[in-house]
Amino acid sequence: MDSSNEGRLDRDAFQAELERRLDMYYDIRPGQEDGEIPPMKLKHFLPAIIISIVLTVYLIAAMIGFGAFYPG
Amino acid sequence: MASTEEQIRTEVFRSKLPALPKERVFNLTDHTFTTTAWSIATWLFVMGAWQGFAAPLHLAIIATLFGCTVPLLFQSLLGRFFARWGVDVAFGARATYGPLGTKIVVLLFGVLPAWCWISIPAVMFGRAVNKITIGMGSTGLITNEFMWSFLCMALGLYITYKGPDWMKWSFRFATPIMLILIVAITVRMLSEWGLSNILAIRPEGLNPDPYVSFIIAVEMALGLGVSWLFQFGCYGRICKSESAAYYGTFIGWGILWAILSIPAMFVALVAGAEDIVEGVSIIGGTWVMVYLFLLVIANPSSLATNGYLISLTLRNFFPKLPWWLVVCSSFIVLLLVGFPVAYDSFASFIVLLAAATMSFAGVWVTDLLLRGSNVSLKDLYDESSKGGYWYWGGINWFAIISAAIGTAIAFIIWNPVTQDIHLMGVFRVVGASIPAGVSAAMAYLIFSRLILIPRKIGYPEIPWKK
Repeated sequence: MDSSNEGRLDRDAFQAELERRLDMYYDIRPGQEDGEIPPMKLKHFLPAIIISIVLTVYLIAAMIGFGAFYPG
Repeated sequence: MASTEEQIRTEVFRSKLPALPKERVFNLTDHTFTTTAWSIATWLFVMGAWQGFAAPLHLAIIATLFGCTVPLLFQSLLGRFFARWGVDVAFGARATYGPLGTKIVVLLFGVLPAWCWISIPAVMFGRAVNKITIGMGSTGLITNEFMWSFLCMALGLYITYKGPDWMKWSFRFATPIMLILIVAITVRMLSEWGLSNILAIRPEGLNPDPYVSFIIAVEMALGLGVSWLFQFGCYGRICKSESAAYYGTFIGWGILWAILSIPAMFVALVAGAEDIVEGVSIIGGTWVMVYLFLLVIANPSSLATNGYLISLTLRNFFPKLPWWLVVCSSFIVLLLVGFPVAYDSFASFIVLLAAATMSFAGVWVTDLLLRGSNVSLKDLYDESSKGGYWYWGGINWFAIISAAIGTAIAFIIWNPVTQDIHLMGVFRVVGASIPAGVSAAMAYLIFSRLILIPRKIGYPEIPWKK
């Protein structure tokens, strides 16, 4: 191993590690072997969807009733 | 000498090695703290000030909240994608743009604007210290703007060099402190000026028609909202869950950016100043020091986070370069400190970015949805013509053409540089960047449905789906 270059792996070791990881990911869904990366389901998007809808309605209201929002 | 495991762990944070679940370092809190630290810097205050120039407070807040947050409802799906696969943008984007297409698009619309962005906190930090030290009666080197910009950048890039582990611990302390300081400054401003007084102020506007000026404010905010497009990979890939990757960006880059920029709107409206330090100086000398302390934490933090994005991307495109060199490459922006184009032309910079980036966002998010965020990892790393994402000559021309269509539509509606509006009727209703993004997405959807998917071009077999 080459420790002189900022702790980098040497080229062959790096390539071997890359191949190992690509093989690991090849036949399985990501993360299964080392512990799953918890996936997002539809319900997890709900807060972002609700916030975005509220902000969009807020913007449209400001565009339609611009005069009422404008001071003076 | 570092053990092999330590060397591998270092490589995960500095190279193209996919990050395994056990190597991930960011939960939702850490990711949110990091993206918030990224947001809190002079750029946030500059953005807030321009919104304050464009529209009265109430409308400026609406424009900023909408423009900064709603694009992330879709774009943050990219964060989820990178968390799922553990790869950086230099590889993850290949499924959409092809290996050569990714290099061109990411360098042009990711790295180059990122360099322009990081010039802003460096420039503004130098200017702030310069103003404050001169105001205190100092002379000589201590007032040197360039020196302070350099020091700010050096501190930020040192954290970049140390990597995400350092960032995680730095921002666990720095972000809450910055939030407290901003709240304190905001409360002080409100008690000095009064909310009802600020709400009653009518700014000159960026256009003679106040409504058009308001739509320009929305365009600027959308430009900010989509400016994160190529930045989801570097931290998303080291998140411990897809939700952490998604909401870390949605909250830190979206909602909090918009809310935290409000004190700069106060300053723009009350003092007519772009630089928040001028407003802070009105409320008292002690508060100038508080603001300076905030900048000392905030600007290097943002330089560190953005610097990491640039460094990792460059390292993956040019793997032979040593880490210290790609980190130091960001010193190139000191040229922009000398000629602060991005800072002094902020409004043009941001709306021009909106016109181009929104189209790429439309294409990329559409592509992710069509794939269900699933890719063949081996094919992402295959740069040969046999690779599953090779397309034609390493470029997905349909993605490029679709993005070009979207950008052209934005320019047909208005010229972001001169701010001449060609189709006033359209601009008043939907602006320019939303039509750009929607048309690019629609064009790419049609190309994919008619050509790419039926012919399985860019759609290799997903191994675990066999």
